[in-house]
Amino acid sequence: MVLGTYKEIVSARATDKQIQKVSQDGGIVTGLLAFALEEKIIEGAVVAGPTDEFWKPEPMVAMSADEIIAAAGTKYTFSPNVMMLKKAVRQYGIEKLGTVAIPCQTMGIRKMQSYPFGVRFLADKIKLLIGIYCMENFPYASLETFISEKMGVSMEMVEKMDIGKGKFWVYTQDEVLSIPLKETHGYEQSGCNVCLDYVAELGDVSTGSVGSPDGWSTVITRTDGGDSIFKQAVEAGAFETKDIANVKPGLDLLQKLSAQKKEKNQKTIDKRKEMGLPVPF
Amino acid sequence: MSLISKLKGLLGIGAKPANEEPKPAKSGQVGASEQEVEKVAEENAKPRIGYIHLSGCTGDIMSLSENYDILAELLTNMVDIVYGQTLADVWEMPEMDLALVEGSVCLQDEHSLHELMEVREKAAMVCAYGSCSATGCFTRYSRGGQQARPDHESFVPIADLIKVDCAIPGCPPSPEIIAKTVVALINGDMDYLQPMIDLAGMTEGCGCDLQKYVVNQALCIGCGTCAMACQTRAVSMTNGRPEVNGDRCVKCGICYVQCPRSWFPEEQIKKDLGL
Amino acid sequence: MSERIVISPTSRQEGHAELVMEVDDEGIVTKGRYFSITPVRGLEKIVTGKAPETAPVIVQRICGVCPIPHTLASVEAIDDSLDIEVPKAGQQLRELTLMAHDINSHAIHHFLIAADFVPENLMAAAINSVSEIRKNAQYVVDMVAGEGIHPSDVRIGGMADNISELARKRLYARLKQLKPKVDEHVDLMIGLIADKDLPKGLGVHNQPTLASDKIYGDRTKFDLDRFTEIMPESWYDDAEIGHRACSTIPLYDGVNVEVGPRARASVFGGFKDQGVVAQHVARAYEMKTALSRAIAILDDLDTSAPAQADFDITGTNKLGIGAIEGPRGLDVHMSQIANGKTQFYSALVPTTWNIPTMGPATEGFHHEFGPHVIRAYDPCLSCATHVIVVDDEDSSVIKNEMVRL
Ligand SMILES: Cc1cc2nc3c(=O)[nH]c(=O)nc-3n(C[C@H](O)[C@H](O)[C@H](O)COP(=O)(O)OP(=O)(O)OC[C@H]3O[C@@H](n4cnc5c(N)ncnc54)[C@H](O)[C@@H]3O)c2cc1C
Ligand code: SF4
Ligand code: SF4
Ligand code: SF4
Repeated sequence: MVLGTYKEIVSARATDKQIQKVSQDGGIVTGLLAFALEEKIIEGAVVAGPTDEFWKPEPMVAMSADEIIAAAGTKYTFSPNVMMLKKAVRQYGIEKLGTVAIPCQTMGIRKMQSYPFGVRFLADKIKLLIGIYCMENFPYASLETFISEKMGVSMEMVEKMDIGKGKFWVYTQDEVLSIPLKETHGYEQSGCNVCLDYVAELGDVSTGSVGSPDGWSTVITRTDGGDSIFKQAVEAGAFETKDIANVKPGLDLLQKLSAQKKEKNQKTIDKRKEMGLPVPF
Repeated sequence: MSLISKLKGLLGIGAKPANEEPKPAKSGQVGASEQEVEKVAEENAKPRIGYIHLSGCTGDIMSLSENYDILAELLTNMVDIVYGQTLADVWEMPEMDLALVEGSVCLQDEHSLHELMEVREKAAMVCAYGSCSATGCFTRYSRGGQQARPDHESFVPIADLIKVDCAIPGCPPSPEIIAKTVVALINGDMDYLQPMIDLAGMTEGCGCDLQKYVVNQALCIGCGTCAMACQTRAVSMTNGRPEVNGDRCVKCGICYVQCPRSWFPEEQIKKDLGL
Repeated sequence: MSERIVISPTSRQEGHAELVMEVDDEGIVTKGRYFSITPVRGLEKIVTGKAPETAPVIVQRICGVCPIPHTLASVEAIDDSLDIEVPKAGQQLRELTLMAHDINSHAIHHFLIAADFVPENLMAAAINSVSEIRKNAQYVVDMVAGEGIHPSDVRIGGMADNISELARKRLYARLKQLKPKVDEHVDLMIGLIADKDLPKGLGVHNQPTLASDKIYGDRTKFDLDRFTEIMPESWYDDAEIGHRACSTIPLYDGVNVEVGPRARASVFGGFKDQGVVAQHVARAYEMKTALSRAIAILDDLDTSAPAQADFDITGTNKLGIGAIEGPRGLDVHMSQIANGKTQFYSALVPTTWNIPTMGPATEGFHHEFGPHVIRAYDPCLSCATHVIVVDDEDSSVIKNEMVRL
């Protein structure tokens, strides 16, 4: 199945105005983590927190809604969130943990849960894994190339970055700049080119912008746990939802992009196999 | 595959014997024969497990014992511990369905070599249990010269000397993986055990595997699983790639074993998640 | 007519050892010799020449049963060599780790001796009691020291991290709740041991006890001048045993000693009893002491304070000593650091102290009681092989050499 196994797909956004303001899309990640924290479903969450360097994130254990909100927004470079999971349940003392992960990170987490060879007493403490869609990720230096070199903007001026409608966008205080995505090709990390998962097929809940209008997100609930937490949040009024069938561009686009990613990267996998290079999938 | 079917037979898990049958007890039928059925079922289903301690630190068996909630059940009802000097007063090594071998083997120690050979003879399935046994772990750094036996210098993973059927690396392996393995054995869940069978071939481990087999192979995605998994905290992340502190690395192999880009058990994960 | 009884390997303890007893016509032991035959992985030699940071990581793998004392003794020795002042919170977290480990380790010992003392009908209850206590104790070690078995976050200069306020409160509440459980467990074990009716005087010997501290360990109470070490060849009067033995023989004031819970109780608590039962009783009571201390630390801990000192790793080749009172007794590590590398490393581990005392302690009773005597020491022979490197004959040379190294 091109979107993985799921229970339900809706278009949604957080109702909280502050979350709407800082979030990348519909504020699903921030809203759901904050809701789960409030409801004591989780006691903390590993998120991609800010650092001294602009747009270079670092995994961070957030134990308050404020800290979760401070980490909102997409950073198109590495934030090895999985790394912090253990410390979160050790020195931070968290017994019920949430996190956000791009698809390849969900793979590391899920593999650890099924086969915790060297990882003790962590697997069952992860109560909410929100997966975010991902076509590819970039080394920090690639971002610098797009923004400083190609667009002529310095990193600290950037307020938001986004990918959509075939372009890589940069928002500053007073400008909106973009370059076509074909100019970013070849700047992604090459590990992404064998990745067959676009829509975080192993998340409890997965979300991304594609399929929904601006300011909204497409939410896929997958596991029993994820489905029930999201439904509780909707019921509690943390999110407003729309039937995915009634929004533009809708599910077709999501399916198309997911299929494209699988097809293109399967070719890379086949080529690697021909060359005798290892492939984990 | 003959090994697996042999093993299944030995563990009484291939044909799913009498214990799968609905028990007649509730309909109030039988006395003696019912007990007999249960007895047979029990004998067949309970794997006879031995624990053999070579040059390991006992941390692996300690980890097994940290299955607190199921330990009493495990030891009394699920398996028969038929050999293991930490756990039972048995002098002669008996026939075993599964032997968990902890520790690497010292080539200068006759006693260890002899014990290892004997295990291979007596056990249907030999498991390299813990990284010392599987990859050599930190005993790869041994170089002799210490009193009272300066001649004890060379320590190797057991697969260097005998055929090993499966491996559970970890320094030590987590309590959970041990419980999962035992349960899979009892259920005859060979799909779950496949990675352990494959890992029997991994007789070397090091933080540099991440660089050689993941980053150098254009596979790393900077997820940080390796840094999370490393039990000595030898791995950190620099610019989204693993940085290994050789001063802390014990060569257990866990970082690479846990990396989602070394091998990926997709079917098992989906099964576990109900997806 | 005298006969020889060999028990090899002695069971339900860690590592490999042989107990060789000479017995008379009645089966009474006239001469007992106990020695380790575990291969020597040579951890002291592994860490020599490497970065100081390597030492605690490697030496904690001496033993998976008592890794905490080894780690602590290692970092304490390195701190001492580098003259590092560990911040208060770091020191408290180290002590907290040890207290939790003591509780865990003593509980494990109760699991291992269960077959000797616990009647069949109480077995499952006893195992569950042990598991319940261990689960909570190990929860502390996991959170404070990073990994429950081989702790990753006990570091030179302190601890890798302080714990969060959430973790502190959680641990405090857990341990408070554990208290009645531990009290009940200790009473149960002491009762069962008394019920066993072991012969009076079993395991009593004439050797002195050695302990540096009641709870944590104190390097100033370990006097290197009074310590010597000889090779097994010159200790055992049986040439074959002397050769096969894999650990050296440490002496204090020229004689072999007993270390461990009973030793601590006798040196610091005025505890007069001796022998197998006394050892079990002292060990059980220590679970209570350790728990109280852990709760007190958690009450006092400032979670916002730094847990690790800044330090310069270069070193001046000072001989640093780390002395930790592990569950099985005094664990002394020594480290000398110069040019940023470990120049000399030595570990004098608890069971090694006890080895020469355990054999003779079997004497005077029927050989069937031999293993009982040995188990009362909770020997851990993965440890017992990692011992100081010295010359075999002249003890004064040993020490001078060590300092000069
Ligand atoms: C590299 C990358 C590529 C993406 N590609 C697509 C795509 O092709 N199509 C699509 O629909 N969506 C994509 N997304 C997801 C999208 O950009 C939004 O992150 C997602 O829709 C969530 O928005 P939100 O408003 O719900 O989250 P917010 O409330 O804004 O929260 C975002 C959360 O993501 C975390 N985060 C930010 N950056 C990273 C990172 N690099 N690694 C891990 N976690 C991070 C933050 O800590 C925060 O908790 C991508 C995201 C990333 C990181
Ligand atoms: S693998 Fe680790 S836990 Fe196991 S014996 Fe070796 S050092 Fe100990
Ligand atoms: S880096 Fe860590 S996990 Fe990897 S082999 Fe070394 S010690 Fe093991
Ligand atoms: S675990 Fe993740 S970060 Fe580490 S080597 Fe593998 S892919 Fe790279």
